[in-house]
Amino acid sequence: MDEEKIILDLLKGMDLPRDVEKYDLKFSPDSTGTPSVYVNLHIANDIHPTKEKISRLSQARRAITSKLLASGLDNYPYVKLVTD
Amino acid sequence: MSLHADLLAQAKSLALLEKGKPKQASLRRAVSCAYYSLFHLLVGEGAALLGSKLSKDARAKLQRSFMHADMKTVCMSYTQPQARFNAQIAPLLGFPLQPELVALAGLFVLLQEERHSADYDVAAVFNRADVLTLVEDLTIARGGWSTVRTSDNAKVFLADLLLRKSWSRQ
Repeated sequence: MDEEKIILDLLKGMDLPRDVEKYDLKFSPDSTGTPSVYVNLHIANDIHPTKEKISRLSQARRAITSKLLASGLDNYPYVKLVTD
Repeated sequence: MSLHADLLAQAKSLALLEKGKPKQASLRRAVSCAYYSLFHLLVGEGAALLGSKLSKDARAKLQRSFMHADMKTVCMSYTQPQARFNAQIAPLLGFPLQPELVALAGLFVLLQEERHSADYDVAAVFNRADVLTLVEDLTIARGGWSTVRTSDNAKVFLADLLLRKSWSRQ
């Protein structure tokens, strides 16, 4: 199974917070040349995020990262919160 | 307060510096502060562990011996499954590694990459929620680290951060 499908299946199986509007993947070497996958979680550009929202997003990023690392991907996963 | 604690506090302050739309410069410096908070936490702990019998000056010199790129390589390895672990170092560790140690190592990798982007990628756009979430992640990881820092695995990890290349020789 290719890693894109593994990651997408994993994300579909997770209960992501409502703050995550959509997600996409980008496969690219990181700054030191390590094969990597950037999991972009798209969120609203909120300039006054509440503590609760930050807590939800932190929990989501940590949970996704933990699952991706445990799955032993060849590409190192970076989970990023991006705005459109 | 310690340097690493001050840097964490400064990261949060910078992320919230502007009352309205945050300046990219503030968010970028916040990311950098968050990374260096974790860097100095680990380097300080590593030097304290390895140089406990050294003078203050010698311990400071020991701290300067830790290399960012090498630390990233080491941290990356601590996030990987046991089967992929460096064969020379795996026997020194007890598996499974504590989740708090794995989380800290993973956050170091993420923060270093974000810092690189913050300092060098002029096209990158940072947002306040992301930066505050990184600060939150770091706060939680530091709390987790405090529960495992005296464990044998944590001590090997700290030494590994400095000695990986030497230890990897057969």
